[in-house]
Amino acid sequence: MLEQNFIGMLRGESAPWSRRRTTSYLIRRTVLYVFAIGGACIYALPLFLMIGTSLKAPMELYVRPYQWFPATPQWQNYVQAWTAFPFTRYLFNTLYVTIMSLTGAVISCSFAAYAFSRIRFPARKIFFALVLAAMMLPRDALFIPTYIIWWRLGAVGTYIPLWAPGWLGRGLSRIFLLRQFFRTIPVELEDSAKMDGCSAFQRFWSIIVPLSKPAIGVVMIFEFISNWNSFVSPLIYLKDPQMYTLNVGLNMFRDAFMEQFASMPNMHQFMAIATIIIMPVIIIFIFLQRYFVEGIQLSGINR
Amino acid sequence: MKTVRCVLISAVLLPLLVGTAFAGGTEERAAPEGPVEIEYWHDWAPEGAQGLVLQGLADEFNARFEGEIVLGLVYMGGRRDEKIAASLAAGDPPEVAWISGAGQSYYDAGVLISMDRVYDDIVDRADLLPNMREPMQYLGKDITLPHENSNLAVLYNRNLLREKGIAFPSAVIGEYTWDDFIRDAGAFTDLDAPTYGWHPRWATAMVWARFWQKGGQMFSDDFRTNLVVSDPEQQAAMLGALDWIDRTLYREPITANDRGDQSFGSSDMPFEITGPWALPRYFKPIGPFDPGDIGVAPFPADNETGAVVTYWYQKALAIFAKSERQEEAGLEFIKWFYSPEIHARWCADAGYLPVTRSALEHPVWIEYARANPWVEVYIEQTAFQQYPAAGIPRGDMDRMRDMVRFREGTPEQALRDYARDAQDVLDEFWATR
Amino acid sequence: MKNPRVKVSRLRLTGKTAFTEKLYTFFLGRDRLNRTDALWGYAFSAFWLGGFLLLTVGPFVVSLVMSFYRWPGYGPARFIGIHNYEWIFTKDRLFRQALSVTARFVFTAVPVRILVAFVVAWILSHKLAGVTVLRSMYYLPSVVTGVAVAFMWMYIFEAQNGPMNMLIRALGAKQSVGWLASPRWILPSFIIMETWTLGSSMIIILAGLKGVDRTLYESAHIDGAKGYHRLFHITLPMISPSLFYVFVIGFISAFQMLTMPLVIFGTGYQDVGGPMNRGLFYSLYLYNRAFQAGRMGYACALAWILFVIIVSITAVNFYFIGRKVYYEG
Repeated sequence: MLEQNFIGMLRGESAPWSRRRTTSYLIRRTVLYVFAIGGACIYALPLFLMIGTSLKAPMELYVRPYQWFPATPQWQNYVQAWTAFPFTRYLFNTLYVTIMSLTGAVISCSFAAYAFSRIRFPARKIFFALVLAAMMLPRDALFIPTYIIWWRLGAVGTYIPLWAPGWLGRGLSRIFLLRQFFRTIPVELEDSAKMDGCSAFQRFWSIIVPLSKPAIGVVMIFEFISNWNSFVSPLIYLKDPQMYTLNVGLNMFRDAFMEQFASMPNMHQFMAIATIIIMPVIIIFIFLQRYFVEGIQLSGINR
Repeated sequence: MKTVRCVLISAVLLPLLVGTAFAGGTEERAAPEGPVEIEYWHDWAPEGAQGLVLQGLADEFNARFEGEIVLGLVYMGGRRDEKIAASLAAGDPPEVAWISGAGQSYYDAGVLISMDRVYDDIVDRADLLPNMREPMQYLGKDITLPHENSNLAVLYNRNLLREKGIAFPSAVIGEYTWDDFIRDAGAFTDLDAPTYGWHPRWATAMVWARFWQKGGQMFSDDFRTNLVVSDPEQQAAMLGALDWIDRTLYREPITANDRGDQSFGSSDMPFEITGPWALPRYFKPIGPFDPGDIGVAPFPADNETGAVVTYWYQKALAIFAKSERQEEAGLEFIKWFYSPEIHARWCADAGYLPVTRSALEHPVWIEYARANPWVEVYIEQTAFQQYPAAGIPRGDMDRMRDMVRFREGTPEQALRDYARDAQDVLDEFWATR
Repeated sequence: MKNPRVKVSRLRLTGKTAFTEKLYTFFLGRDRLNRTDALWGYAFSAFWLGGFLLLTVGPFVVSLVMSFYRWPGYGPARFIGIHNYEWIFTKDRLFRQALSVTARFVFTAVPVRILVAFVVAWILSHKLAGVTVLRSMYYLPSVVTGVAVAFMWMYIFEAQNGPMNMLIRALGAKQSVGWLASPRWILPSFIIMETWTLGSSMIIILAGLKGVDRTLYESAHIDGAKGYHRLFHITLPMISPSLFYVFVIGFISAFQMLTMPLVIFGTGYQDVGGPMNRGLFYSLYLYNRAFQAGRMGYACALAWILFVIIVSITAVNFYFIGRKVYYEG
């Protein structure tokens, strides 16, 4: 891009609509900047409010005029909220489910993607068509029959329904993403390995996997986030409060106060826990945002 | 390639092993020897007034039955329907659970134990207060135990009333009417400030109570044929109740996040209509008030009919069918929990009213009633309390109320819609049962 | 090409009889040398295939079967024929309410979100300094979801002194708005929430915009085309595949939205779907019937109906709008 522009400038032919740096051009740029930055601020504002609220004293929650940030940050809100419920336990439960699911998703999705992109077998086209079709199906709406199936298998009340879908390749968009990526790897590499008598699994393990670490990383990020944020499945499958995940725990924390007060007097504490819950996601996003964008552009979906 | 295979196999097996270690915890409960573990599922926030009392009682029970029974308390977190349904689905329900309503659906699914076992030798039928048992019946059969008694009365802040020069409401049942109440609360209402005399927070319960006061009866006696709101008299009763909503709307009609409760607690609002369970929260040491600050008056009577009816939150203890050993342990707990002293202590500390005569006459309760004279009002009202049968069309009731309070339709319209919807719900219930 | 040292196949997957050979051909292909690989293909697909049968096909079958039963989710189930469907279509007003709430939401929120996403993507497609930072600021909201964000919105939309009410009062409104607590403002609140998470749509549209051939604009400029001509005759047709994709996926996911309404309304202390049931999203109603009202079979019937609705809307999208999409080459 840059190089092209440079050559164009040398030739004296810049893009036609930005030919002259006239006043109107400057106005256009300014307006663009104002809208871009203003919009970005509006988009970041709710999260800022959330963090600001988590540091407020109870009295500052609903004062007029609105207080953007507390006078003195109440860091003890975090400690109080965290210890009011067994959130440490919930954190480990969440980590357990997330890591289990993530491991499974990487294995199952990359296996399937490899089969769909590189191995020739008669059912391949049908299988891949099924993947594409299933991506268009409203699968989330089927959480009730899915519940019945897990109930039938005796898995209600355990963690299995939470992480097993990862192992069973439920993340179809992840399969699609990896397939698209595997297709960009030159076939010649594999052909020569095949000539040397490598089996399909050996080829996959020694050629494809090392070359597609970035794509697998994207899958891991997406899988982590979707599991970290999931709420409905833990809510319906887990029975023992000791097994709750962070999201369910936070919801229960709120319900405890709804029952008592029919109101939300300690919003600052909810916001503190909420901030803790979204922090890992934000940190991952800030450091790995390039992968997010690439992953979405490659597969089209971020779920 | 051996290493690859090893890595792969361990990648699959290791999490599985860890997973079973984590998830397999619940299966140990069926162990044949050692103490029986039973669970009591409840819905009082663990750090709240009632939750702490219950925890204390559980500790006491565990100390008393050490080596035989271990009682675990499980807080359902406001999602009791879902949690109990999930546990039943998993085949591992709690031994006892605190539920709203009588638990008809559990009875229909056949997951409750027969109440004959309970009434024959655990809790004496004759010991229950006369109007406690009937609400826990279904199709003429006892299905659950009444857990506690409670009804609604008016709490008023004496200091605020004194400042305004308003006379305290009469403590005699039937003397204080809704007109009086609306006048008194209206004196504190200034919509511009905005300050309010009272906020109808438990509005659905109040609508029921007003409806009954107007002579309405929602269901026919067999809870089967039809809703009687199609009858003109009943309609008039309901319209009276709905009109009352309109008149008592001192605050902006806002539900989910309102802070009416705080306002009474922080002396911003002089009136609150609530049950006895709220009082431990208002009095010291947890709350801000001295016993002299707050007065309790009976639930206001209807100014036309003079009828005194108050609302009862029908709460029950469901006892689920389990293995013989666990059921026995559960019944042992119930026997202990309903023994006069424990029941009196639970009710006194948590702010409920006993359901048994023996607890009412127990020294613990008598002492408590002497120290807290306001309890007398609630006890007296016990004779006038009613409950919504089965509570099935509850959501429809909420909708009718909201239609009036959000000014989305006239009371007539709201009533018509309600009668139709609730009738459908009842029909469906009986058609598929 | 021929290398005698190469061990082509460790397994000899050739049929001894005509029938087994046919079977092999059917499952493993005609090419005998490739049959080991083909077997690996099945092995590699096994995880996914198992999941597909258990978690995609299975639920369809189960919900179809269970929709003819009355079953609370535990205990015995009782066959009641088509009663569930009959009731849904003839009597169930909450079903109609849920459909209308969901449809109103979907048909407003999705277009609004895509429009905003398009505008943002258009702005970000210019060469601006710090464009990556801006892009991540727009994208960030769509990676944080779940209960935490639902609480954040409940705070922001607090009915009296919440930040949103402060804002509109600062802008000159006389009264505060009830937002999530007022029947009239539930839908707008949800549209705002939905628009906040436009990140992935924006990225996809942005990729589309970047892919538009610059020479098209230049030639249009030479032909004297105005700005809006460029928009309607070049930009929109060229990115129509991206737009269409975002549209279809947006519809599918918006129809199934559950977490937000479940956290905000589904607490069990009030009516199922918030004030006047104006927040009764279809999935929330499903959840309520299945887990709170104890009607698993009924919920299965509802799930099937939702499934049919979504699939037919997707099909209509493909049939009527998909035909107009311009695919290059």
